[in-house]
Amino acid sequence: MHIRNLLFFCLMSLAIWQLFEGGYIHAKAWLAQHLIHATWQETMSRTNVRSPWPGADMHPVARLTAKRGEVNLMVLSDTSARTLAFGPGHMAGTTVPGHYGNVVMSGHRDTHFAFIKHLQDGDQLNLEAKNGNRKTYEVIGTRVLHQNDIEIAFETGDDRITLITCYPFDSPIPGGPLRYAVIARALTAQYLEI
Amino acid sequence: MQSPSSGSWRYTQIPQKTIITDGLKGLFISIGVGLTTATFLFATTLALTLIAGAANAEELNDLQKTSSGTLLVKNAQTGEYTPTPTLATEVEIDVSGMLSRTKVSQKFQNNSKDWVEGIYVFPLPDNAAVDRLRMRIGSRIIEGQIKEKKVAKKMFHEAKKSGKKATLVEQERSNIFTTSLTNIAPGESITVEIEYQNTLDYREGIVRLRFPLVVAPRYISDREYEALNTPQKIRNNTEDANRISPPVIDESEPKRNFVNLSINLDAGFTIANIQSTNHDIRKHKITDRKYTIQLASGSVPADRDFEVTWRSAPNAMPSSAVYTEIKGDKHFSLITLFPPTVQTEPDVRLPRDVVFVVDTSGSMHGSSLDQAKSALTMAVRRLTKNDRFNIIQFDDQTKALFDRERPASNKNLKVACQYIDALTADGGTEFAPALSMALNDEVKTGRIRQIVFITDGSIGNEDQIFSMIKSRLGANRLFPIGIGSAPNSHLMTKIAEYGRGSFTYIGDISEVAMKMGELFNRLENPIVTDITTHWPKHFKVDITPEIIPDLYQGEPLVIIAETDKFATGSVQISGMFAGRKWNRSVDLETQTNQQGIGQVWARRKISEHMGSLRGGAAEDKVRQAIMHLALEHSLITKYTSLVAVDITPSRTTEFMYRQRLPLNLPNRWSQAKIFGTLPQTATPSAMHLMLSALLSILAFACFFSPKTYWEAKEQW
Repeated sequence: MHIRNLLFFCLMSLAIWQLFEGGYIHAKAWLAQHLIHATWQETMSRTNVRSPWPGADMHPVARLTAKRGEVNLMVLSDTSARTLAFGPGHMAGTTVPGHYGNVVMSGHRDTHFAFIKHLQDGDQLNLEAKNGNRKTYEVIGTRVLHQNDIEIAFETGDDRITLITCYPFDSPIPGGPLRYAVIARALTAQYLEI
Repeated sequence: MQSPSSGSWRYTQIPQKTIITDGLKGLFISIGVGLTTATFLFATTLALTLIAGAANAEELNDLQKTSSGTLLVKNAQTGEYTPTPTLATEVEIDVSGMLSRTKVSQKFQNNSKDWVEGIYVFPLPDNAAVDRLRMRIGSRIIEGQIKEKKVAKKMFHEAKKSGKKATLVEQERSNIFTTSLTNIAPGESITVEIEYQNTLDYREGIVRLRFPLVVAPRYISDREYEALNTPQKIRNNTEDANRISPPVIDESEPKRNFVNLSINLDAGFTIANIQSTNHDIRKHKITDRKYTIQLASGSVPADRDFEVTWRSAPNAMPSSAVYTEIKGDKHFSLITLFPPTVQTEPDVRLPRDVVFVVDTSGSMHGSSLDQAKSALTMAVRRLTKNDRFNIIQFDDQTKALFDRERPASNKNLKVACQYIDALTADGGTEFAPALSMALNDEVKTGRIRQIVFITDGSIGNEDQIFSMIKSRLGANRLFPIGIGSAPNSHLMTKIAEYGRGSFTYIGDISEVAMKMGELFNRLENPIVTDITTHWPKHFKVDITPEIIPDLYQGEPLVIIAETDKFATGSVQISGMFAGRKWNRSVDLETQTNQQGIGQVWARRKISEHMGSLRGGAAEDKVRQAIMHLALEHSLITKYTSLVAVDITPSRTTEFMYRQRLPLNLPNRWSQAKIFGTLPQTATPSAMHLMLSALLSILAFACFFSPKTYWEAKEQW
């Protein structure tokens, strides 16, 4: 065999391996969302809650939609690395979805939450909580933060959601200290009549 | 062996030997190229990241500059930022003997250009009977009315819609209240005045007055969270966690919500010593029995509880005291009686089994844990050879030193002291499993089993804990020790009550020795038990507490009675003390009419009714009983609220903003320890894909490269 062919073969193998590694993350993210969606209606109606797949140890707590349904995500119960592989997570300790306060969610910048970099002031987001509560939120601002800027997750007195993902968006190396946050205020609770 | 037709590109004939050597060479080259590419890629991306990072650092700096005065509200119409309303609190306390009357004035100032509505969460003492509300707008005063909670809420909402100013004061927990104030005009300030009556704590010759200033952020456990989100909603858990977890002011910002406090003290006996636990105070003597007390620094941020204590001069304390109030056709008597104290010999102590339970959750981090360690070490050292003990620590996990109680031998004590020294604070506060473990043993006859637990008490699922204690207490006795700047003293007091023990509060490390000493006295000395009262026959009496608890050394007996006739004659009180029967007669007749005893009586009754609810009583009946008491005595309860509504509307067409007023984090609490950092949210997916793309490009590049290039290489 010619050295050129061998080199080609080796490089292609490496390329395919990397393609698989990268693709697996996206495939898992996509498939998990699909399976969780299937159990959401049951979760909402609070009859026998079935786990999305055998052995799944997380559960959905809300459904986040945006861009007229183009984005349709199941938000899961925590923000551990394991959970985030399957969907965006609700940050424990912050307001529970469906209640008045600051509901903080975070997701991977390159899978589920890839869309949030395109969000602009005035864009609308919908959150359907497990308790049946549905609210529309309007983006009021975006911020770049350090991972220690935990104040973003505190109560601010108003009714809002905060979406957090890693920053910069296109850095191929994970684990950086910066975060990007999108803040959206509930439309219905903006004024007094609640 | 190689046919020219087998593949369009396989036309060069290569001897077998060279295939192997070339193959190896190729492999090495490809690995080399691969590694070089990877390194190159890594370096490029790293550089890119760094460049991006540098750009962001600037952006970040800008942001930090603008967010230094955070908690601004963005106005949706104008895009302008407006500050939240601020609050100043004024507290005036009138003390008369064991009773105190407190007026709390909350002044809301709207600094913005918009109409706003404010919601403020604040604590009051556990036994506070809130019976009066006034809303002060300029020189006008609007008196609040007591209403059923639903009705009050409706009145408030209607006023809100029609643009009238209104105030609503509601009870969230027995010691946590909220004030809602609506239609505050731009630049306007409104004062809300709340008054309450309560009895003071007396123990070991010291009267203790506490005014709580902090609602600590509560830990809501995962299990509670599950309970909130599962079909079988558990009633006992923290459904309203949201309401009692108010916004928190960032620790880098100056503290807010300033409080000014003054006390008019009439102790009823000659005062020997006045002290404040957490604040510097100024005392002014009027007579031997009367003082005025103020904060030395004028006003303080609401970030730690206020506590002031005074003791009687030697032999100045009467052995019993009676106060009465006549209210319509009802008569109320408050009786305070000091039981005998015997100097028991140290060697007749009963052998004890003591379980120490210590909270090592994140909120204990810092000086709280130091206090806990020093209190624990002191407690362990007091054990004698006949005693047995164990230590349990809990955060979101529960761990024990020994598998069961072990004798307090020198060896075991040494192990225990090392164990205590190594305690660190981190994680959540899952109290129920630790309590369950502590309660889990059968009590051996002839031994006293005491559970001493040390916590800062930021625990949310109170009702679950109470019902566990009620059902599994047996012969166990519970002695909670509250530590730090904001222990949840409602929870602690109730645990002590249901656990038939007592609650100790340690505010500062310098107090550990003294407070623990008091507790040891209680733990190691005989108590007065089986206390009963006998009233004159012709009386119709309703007394509280219905079941009189055991009395520990130095604790007075406080009973309040409602009678249908003017209290004459005397009441007989009897019990068991150090194995002997003990009797006392108290004369009921007094000359003075003391206001507020009716309220205190009703408050205690309501508390008992609420307790029966936890014991499984029908909610409807309890609700009715409480409503009756609350409406008669004008008290805020779980079912009733005070509401004040202005007569004339002030807001017409303008929009109004809703604001929850943020609270200070308790003194010396650290945000990072409680809340952690923001989650990691990037995958290496992009890195893999980029590598893949680059490798493919290289592969194709070498595939389509001119043959001559490679042939030339082979010549080398």
